[in-house]
Amino acid sequence: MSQNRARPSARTGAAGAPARTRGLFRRALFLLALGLVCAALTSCSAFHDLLPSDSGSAAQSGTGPNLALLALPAYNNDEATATPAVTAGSAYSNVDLWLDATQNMGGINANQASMYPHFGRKYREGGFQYRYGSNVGWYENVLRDFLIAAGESHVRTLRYGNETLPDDLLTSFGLDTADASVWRDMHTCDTETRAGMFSQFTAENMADSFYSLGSPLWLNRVAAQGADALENPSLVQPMADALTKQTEEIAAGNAEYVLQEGRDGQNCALLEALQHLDTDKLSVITVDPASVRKTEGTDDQGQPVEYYRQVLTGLGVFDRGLCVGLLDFQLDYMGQMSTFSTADFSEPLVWGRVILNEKKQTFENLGVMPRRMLTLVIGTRARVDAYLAALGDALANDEALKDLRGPRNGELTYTADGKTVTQQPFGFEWHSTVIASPTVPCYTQHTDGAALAADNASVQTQENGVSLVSLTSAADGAQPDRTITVRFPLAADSGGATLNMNALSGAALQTLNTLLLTRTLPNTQENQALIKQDGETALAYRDQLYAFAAGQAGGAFILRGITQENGSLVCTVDVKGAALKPGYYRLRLSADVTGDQFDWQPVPWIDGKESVSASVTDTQVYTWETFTAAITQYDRDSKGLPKLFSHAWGSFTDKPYHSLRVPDFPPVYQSVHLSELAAQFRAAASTATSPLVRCVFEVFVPYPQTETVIPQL
Amino acid sequence: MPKTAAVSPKTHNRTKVLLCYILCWGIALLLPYLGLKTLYPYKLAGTAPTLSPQITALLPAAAGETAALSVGTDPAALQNALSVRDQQWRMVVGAAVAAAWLASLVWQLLWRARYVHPRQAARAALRARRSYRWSMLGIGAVNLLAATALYLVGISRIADRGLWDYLLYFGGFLLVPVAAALCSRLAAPPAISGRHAYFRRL
Repeated sequence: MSQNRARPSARTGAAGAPARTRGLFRRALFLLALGLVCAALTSCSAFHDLLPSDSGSAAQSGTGPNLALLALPAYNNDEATATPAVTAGSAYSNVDLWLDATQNMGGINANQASMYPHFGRKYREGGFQYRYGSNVGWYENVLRDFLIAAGESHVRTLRYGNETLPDDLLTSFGLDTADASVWRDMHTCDTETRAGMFSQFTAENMADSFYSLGSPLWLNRVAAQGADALENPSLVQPMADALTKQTEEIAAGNAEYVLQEGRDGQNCALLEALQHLDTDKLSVITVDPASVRKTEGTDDQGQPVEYYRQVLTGLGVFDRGLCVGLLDFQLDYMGQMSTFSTADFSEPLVWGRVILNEKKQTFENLGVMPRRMLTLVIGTRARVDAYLAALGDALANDEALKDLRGPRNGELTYTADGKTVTQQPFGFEWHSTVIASPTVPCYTQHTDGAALAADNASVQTQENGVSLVSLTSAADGAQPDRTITVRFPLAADSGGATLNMNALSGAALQTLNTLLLTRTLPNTQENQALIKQDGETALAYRDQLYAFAAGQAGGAFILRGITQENGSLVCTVDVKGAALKPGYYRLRLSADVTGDQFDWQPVPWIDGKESVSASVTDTQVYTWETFTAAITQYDRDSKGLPKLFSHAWGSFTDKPYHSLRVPDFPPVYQSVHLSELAAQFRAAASTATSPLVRCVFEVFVPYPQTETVIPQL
Repeated sequence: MPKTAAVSPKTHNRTKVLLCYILCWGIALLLPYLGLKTLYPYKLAGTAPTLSPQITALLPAAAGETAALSVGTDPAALQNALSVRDQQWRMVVGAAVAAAWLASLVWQLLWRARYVHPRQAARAALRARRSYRWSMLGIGAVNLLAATALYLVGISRIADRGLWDYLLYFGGFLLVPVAAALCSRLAAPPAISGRHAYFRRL
């Protein structure tokens, strides 16, 4: 019974357990499937979120190495434009007034054997500082106006003339021959100049006057100055002793103490004075152009030398940011000139005289003649401009400069260009210009408004201000030829010169740094070590290693030119696509400006048809010297010149004088060597090479058939 | 009558089964791991796709090191970020393979557990063959689903996909069903397996 009962139960148990298991398993499968379906349905939207957005996909779709991983060496901008070292401070407010004390200025005949008298009792034929009664030359007024223009500044007056201080003299008194301040102290007339001193010049007798050679009164003024006012207070006594010695030697006729003309005839008072300028101060230098001798010659090696350019360059006038104001005055003159440029006359030139009634021998009028005087104003641009503006106001308000002077009835004539010129009354006039080193801004990548553009490329400015031009390859992966253009807004011109873009010759495109693909190797540990050992940068992409290293641009970039277009400076660079390599190029556009690349704006009174400049040729000098020698030879014994030659060699005549043709009178009424001096000043101003363009930019060349791979993590 | 040594085929079989499971499922997991660890840097370097932030946020290295980078980013930082991205991508691939592996293993063990103690061995063997085919279909589906998800999440973003890409990324999903099939056929429960049966007995 129990077995029978047990069998069904056993059967039931044997068959029931798998059935239950199967049922459970089916239910589990059903629940699992149901759960999966539910999970799939509910996670559809969530799964969508797991997909990267389309915006980021473009950055990921590139092939080839990711060149964004490369980095050029850090760029250091080491070309900051150096600011000219201009000395500033209270000392600069002082003015040095250099007065030309050559004999031509004072109408003094330096030839002692001359037959012609220097002055009369009532009058003083003192050149620019003549006097007849209360009548004085315009020069004295101009000097006063120089003081007015200086304003509150302390004006130190220095006298420079044909006297010299030999090195032996200075050395014997323990003075430093190379110290320009000693030279300036020894030529100082007054450290606190007053207008009365100029009147004093006019009131003096011709002998031992301010303009006489070796004047004891004016040569040795050191001891009369306060020691503190001098640059070398401790050297007052030796300087005074040396000057006393100088005066004695000049009086004794020692030629060593008188300026010799030099090998090329270049030595003159102005050239000597310029070498001793104090460039920390505003220097106002009066110059009689007739005393300026040769302006150019040759050095010991036979190389051409422009003396005034050389002096200014040596002083570093323009390198320090200083400028030269060039002034030309038409003044009245009455006196004698025994030299004119390089010509030394046996008989002095007579230019201007007192006109007397021939019958009664009484004063009729003052036959002053026009002569030109130059003035150099050397200092900072702002200081020079301010001084010239103040001087202009002073001259305009000076009533003494507004009348007409000269022979009223055509009494005085001279010959010019083979024709007789009858002098008419003339007025005071003046011109000025400023010659400054042309200041062109240096255009860099940091210049406001600088723009870089390229065909088929994107341009981005990096944190260091350097633009990165990312070139885009063509559909076939090749790089097409294209053009990169850099534009700068042009700044205004200054310094009296304009930049001639067509003459730019220093333009160049330099490759500063590169990081270019050099080779491709299989991506293995050995090759990774090899590339690292060679100092290259390796980029791994799939099973390849791409080695990058500094290389040559290989003519991929060529500067086509720098032009001026619509107020912009345009630099155009041609890019040869075939020569490009994947990687980075750091390029620098550079262009320098030298004097040759500046066109100086013509100044009518210097360069134009209305120029007041005159040049002197050796032939003219020979002719004049021969003629004056003939006068000395044939008329010295007659105690007087023929009437024809009594003033300025008289009117034009065809008649020969002892078989000599009477030449044109030397052009003392013009500014001799003005154009040459201006040219040398301009040349000195534009000697320095200034950077015009220093623009750095980088070019990125992607791997062929790739886009720039920049991760968007 | 000489005594014979007592042999326990049951015990012997269990060891073989265990070894079979370890070998098959271990290889299915080990080969993808080795591929990602050793082959990837030399065959697929620099190809990791960008993952969505929702995924990277779940990964250990995601926080802090994966700030958004753009053009002009310092190359050193970029290099670091790309290394992180490579690492993350490999983790995602590994996680997908591991998930598929785990699900497949569970599924296969469940199938095996069902036939450990069948009442009627012959009928159970027949049912086991049918259910085995369905299980393999399910396991294949699970792996296909994981592979598809991986493809959509990242592989589709990889440019220039080649043999190595498919081998490394999809190889694991192929190995897992193979491992499941091998274990099912070679390490089936004794009740439904035999020396010359469909389910071979080790």
